Amino acid sequence: MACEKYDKLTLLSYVTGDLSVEKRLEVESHVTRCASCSGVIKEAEEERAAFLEAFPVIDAVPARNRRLLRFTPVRTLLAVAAGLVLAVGAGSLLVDRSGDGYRTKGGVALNLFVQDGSGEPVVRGEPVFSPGERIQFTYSCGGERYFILASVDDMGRISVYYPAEGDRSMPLEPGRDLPLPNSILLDEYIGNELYIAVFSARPLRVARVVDKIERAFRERTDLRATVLKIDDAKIRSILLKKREYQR
Amino acid sequence: MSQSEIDRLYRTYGFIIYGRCIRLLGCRDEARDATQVVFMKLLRAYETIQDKERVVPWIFRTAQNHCFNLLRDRKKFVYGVEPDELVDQRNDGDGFTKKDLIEQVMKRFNRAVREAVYYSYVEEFDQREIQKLTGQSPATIRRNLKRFREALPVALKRLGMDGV
Repeated sequence: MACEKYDKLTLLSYVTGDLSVEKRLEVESHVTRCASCSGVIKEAEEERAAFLEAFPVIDAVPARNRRLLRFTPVRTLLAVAAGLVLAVGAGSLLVDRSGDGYRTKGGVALNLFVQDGSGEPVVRGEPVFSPGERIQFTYSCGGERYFILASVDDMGRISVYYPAEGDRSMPLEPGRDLPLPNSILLDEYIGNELYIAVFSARPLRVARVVDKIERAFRERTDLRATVLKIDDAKIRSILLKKREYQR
Repeated sequence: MSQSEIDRLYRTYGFIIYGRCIRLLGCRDEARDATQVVFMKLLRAYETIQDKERVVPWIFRTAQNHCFNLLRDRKKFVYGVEPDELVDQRNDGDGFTKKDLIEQVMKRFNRAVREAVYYSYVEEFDQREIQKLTGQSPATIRRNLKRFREALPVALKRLGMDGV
């Protein structure tokens, strides 16, 4: 207990901002005169800072029980007459852990893992990463087996990861949860980066896809609101956030 | 619940959840896992807690219950050995810790005693705070703590808690 007037639970509720306005003002007034209570509050705030530094994000799965999971887009794909129009959403915190996991319409999927210290791929509940980390994608596809993976960041800079060379979509082996060749080393850029996967039934020109991404970004500079439509291609995306500090 | 609200709740309450779990479990990985479980429960319950001043006590009780269950299920419980005997067996300097004590308490006493012991010896709450969390009257709390002290005099002395 901090002092006769306020107990630790009340002081913690003050730190969390859960007290009524009136009570908060009372506690604030009291704390200026009570070393014991101010000590409790200071300790709690230090504890919170240390905790968030150690664990800035929460995992979607227990540390000892990781398994293959998928990010679930916030908004679902909408099929329209001219093809699929993607409503892009940020990667969600809580992922679908039922059975085989999340399946998008049309049978294509893109999944993201980060390699932990031992090189083992793990899923992070929220796609927040740091420069220098390695990410690995897996995919699922059937008929739409030609593939381009590009990214666009907050500044509108576009990078093409697949195909590594050549000017057209690379062919993929149809299947589920197959790894793309090579992991991607995240560069020093701090900010948001939208990874866009374009699955098509026939090869597309990389330059055309890049041009489409560039136009879509110029129209809506908020990455999360980027709308991309390319013929009858199926498009999946993951918004990745890069921050300086990571657990 | 939106992503930003989840983030806010994690930044606001995560350290309180983790603080309870690490005190009871003593292992960082286990505490982190337990924190996640309790946080998920908080996400489900948060909107139902009308008076937000009750959130912190809710966290204390829920984290404690979850960790108690984990401790109860731990396989390293030594059957047939009285807690005080266990203290004597650990004379090699490895130390019988407060965590070990709590673990033994989990297996030998009922919930009311466990709660009184945990909040008194681990969280160092006074009777008023324990009553707020558990609903036990001060007389009941004193009785439960007495039961505990009488059962583990050697352990308490080793931990320097016999004067409490």
